[in-house]
Amino acid sequence: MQVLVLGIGNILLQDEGIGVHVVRELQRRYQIPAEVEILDGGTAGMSLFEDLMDKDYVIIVDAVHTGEPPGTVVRLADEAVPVFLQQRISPHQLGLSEVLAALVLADKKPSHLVLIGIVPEAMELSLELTAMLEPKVDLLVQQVVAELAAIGVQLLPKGSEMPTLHPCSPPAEEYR
Amino acid sequence: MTKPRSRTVKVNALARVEGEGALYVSIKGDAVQEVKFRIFEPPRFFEALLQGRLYSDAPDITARICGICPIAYMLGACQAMEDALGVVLPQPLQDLRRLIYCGEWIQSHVLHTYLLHAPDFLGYEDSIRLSHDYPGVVERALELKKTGNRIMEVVGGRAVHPVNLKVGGFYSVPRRQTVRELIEPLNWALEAALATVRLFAGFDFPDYRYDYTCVSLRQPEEYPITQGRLVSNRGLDIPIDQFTAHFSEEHVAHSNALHGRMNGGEAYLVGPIARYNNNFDTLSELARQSAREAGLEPVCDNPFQSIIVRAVETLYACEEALRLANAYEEPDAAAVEIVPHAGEGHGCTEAPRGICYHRYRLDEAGRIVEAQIVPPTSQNQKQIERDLWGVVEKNLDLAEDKLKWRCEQTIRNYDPCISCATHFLKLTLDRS
Repeated sequence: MQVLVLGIGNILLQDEGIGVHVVRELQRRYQIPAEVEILDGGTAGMSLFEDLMDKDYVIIVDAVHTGEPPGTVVRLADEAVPVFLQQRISPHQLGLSEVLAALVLADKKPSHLVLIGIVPEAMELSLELTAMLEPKVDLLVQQVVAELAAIGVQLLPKGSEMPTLHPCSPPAEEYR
Repeated sequence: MTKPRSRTVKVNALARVEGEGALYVSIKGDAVQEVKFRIFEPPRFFEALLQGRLYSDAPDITARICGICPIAYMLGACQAMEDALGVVLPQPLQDLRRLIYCGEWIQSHVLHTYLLHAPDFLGYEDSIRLSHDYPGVVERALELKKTGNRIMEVVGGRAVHPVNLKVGGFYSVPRRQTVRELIEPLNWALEAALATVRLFAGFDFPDYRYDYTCVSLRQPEEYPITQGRLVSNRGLDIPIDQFTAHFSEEHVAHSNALHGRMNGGEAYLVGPIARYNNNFDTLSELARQSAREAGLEPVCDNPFQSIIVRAVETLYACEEALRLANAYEEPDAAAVEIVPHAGEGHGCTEAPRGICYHRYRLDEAGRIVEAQIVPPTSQNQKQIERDLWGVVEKNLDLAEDKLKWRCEQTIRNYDPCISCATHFLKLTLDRS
C-alpha cells in the first residue's frame, strides 16, 4: 500500500501555508513508516503530478475557502475533492485542481483521496500563521493521524522506537 | 469595402499556465486598440519578508516564491550573498550547482513543453487527452521529467523544494556512487531529448516573427546557466552588478506584476529564445546539430518555435548533467565557511524562464536591510503584450474561439510563471 500525505500552500503567505506547517509538524512528531510518504508540496503545482500518480491513498492538507468562519475544518473524500477544487475554493494558484483533473483523465488517479481543509483567517505576507490558525495545527495533525489509523497505518511518536531496537525484536517492517 | 466592426477578446483564467492571468484585447475595425495582459493575484512584496533576517535565510525563503523553479531562487540568493560577503566557491561546488540546475531545466522544460505547450500544436485541449492518441509520448515526457527530478533529489535532497543548498555551498555533498547512478538514466534521457527535438520540429508553427531585444547571461566557454555577464543582441555587455543601471520595472495599472523594461523604455525578451540567440555558439555540437536538423537558424525570431528551443536546451542540459556526473568526485568540503559582515551583493542566474536577478544589502551582523528580486516573467510582460498585439493583428480574420486559442498559445510561448511574476516594489529600509 502506498500512502501520500501532501501538505500544500505558500508558507510566505501566512495561513495559506497551513498544509506545509501541518506535514512538517507530523514529520517532527512521528516515525514515518516506509509505506507512507510525507511531502511538503509547497507551491510546486503541476510538478506534483508524479508524486500523486497511482497512489492507493492520498491525504491532502490545505487551506480552503468555504464561506465558513476562519478556523473551520472540513473533510472531503474521493469524488468530492476535485470538484471542490475546481470551484477554486482553494485560495492559492497552484494548479492542484489541474493536477487532480489530469490524474483523472490519465487514469492514474489515487484510489482514495481525502482533503483536510481549513478556512484561513489571513493570507498576508508573513511566515507565521495567524493566532487563529496556529493552535489548529495540532488538531489537523491529529486528524491526519486518525485518517492514517483508519486505513490501518499506526504512527508511533518519535522516542517510542526503543522496543524495535531490542535485539530480540523483529525488524522494523515486520513490527509494523 | 470593410465594414466597421468591433470585437473584444477576453481570456479569463488561462488554463495551463502556472498561476493565473487574464488577457484583454480590444479590436476596432481592422486595428488592434488595446492589449492588456493581466494578473489576478493580490500584490505581494516578497522582499519585505527578508527584512531583518540573516543572510543565510534568503535561499530557503525565496525558494518558496516559486515551486516550479526553486533552484533559480535559491542560487540567485546564494550567489548574491556570496558576492556581498566576498566568498568564491571552489570549482567542484560550482559544478555541483550547475548539475542541480540542469535538473531544474530538464524538469521545468519537459513539464512545460510536453504537458502544457505541445497540446496547443496538436489541437488537443490538454496533454492527457493527447496521451490517449500518443501513449508513448506522454510516458517519455514523464520519464524525462523524472530524470530531472532525480538530479534534484541526489544533489538537493528532495525533488520538490530542495533543502540541501545554502550560502557557501551545500549542507552535504552527495556520494560519488549516488551521482554515478544518474549516468544510466541520463544516457536514456539524452536519446529521449533528441527524439523530443525531432517530434516538436514536425509541428506546424504560426507565421509570426519579431525582432527581439534578447537579454541573457553569457560565458565565453559554456552555455550560461548559473552565471555569466549580462549581454544583449544590441551590444549590451555588462557585469551583473550593473543590472539596475540598465533595467527597471514599471507598475502598470492593469496588472499586479511589474513590467520590466530597459532604461530606454523598450521591451526586451528573456528566456530560452534570448539565451539561444545570444549563445548559440556555446551550445554543444550535438545540440547545435539537432537544432539545425529541427529547422532552427542560429537566431530564432518566431516565438512559437520556443518549444523547439526548450527541447534543444533540454538536450543540452542532459548532456551537461551527464558530463558533470561522469566527472564528479566528492569535494573536500561541502561548503565554504562564511563570516558575516556588511556588504552589498548581486546574483543572477538563468532560470528556465530567463534571467532572475537578486540584490541584497547586509548590515554588520549579516542581516538583510535591503532586498530586490527581479524574476523572469515580469521582465517578459511587456514583450508578451507586444507579441499579443502582433499576433492578433495577423489573425483578425480568425473566429473568436480560434483567436482566443492563438492568444493563449502566444502567452504559453513564454511559459509564464505567473505566481512569481506577481511581485511588487523593492524595499528600502530607513534605519535612522
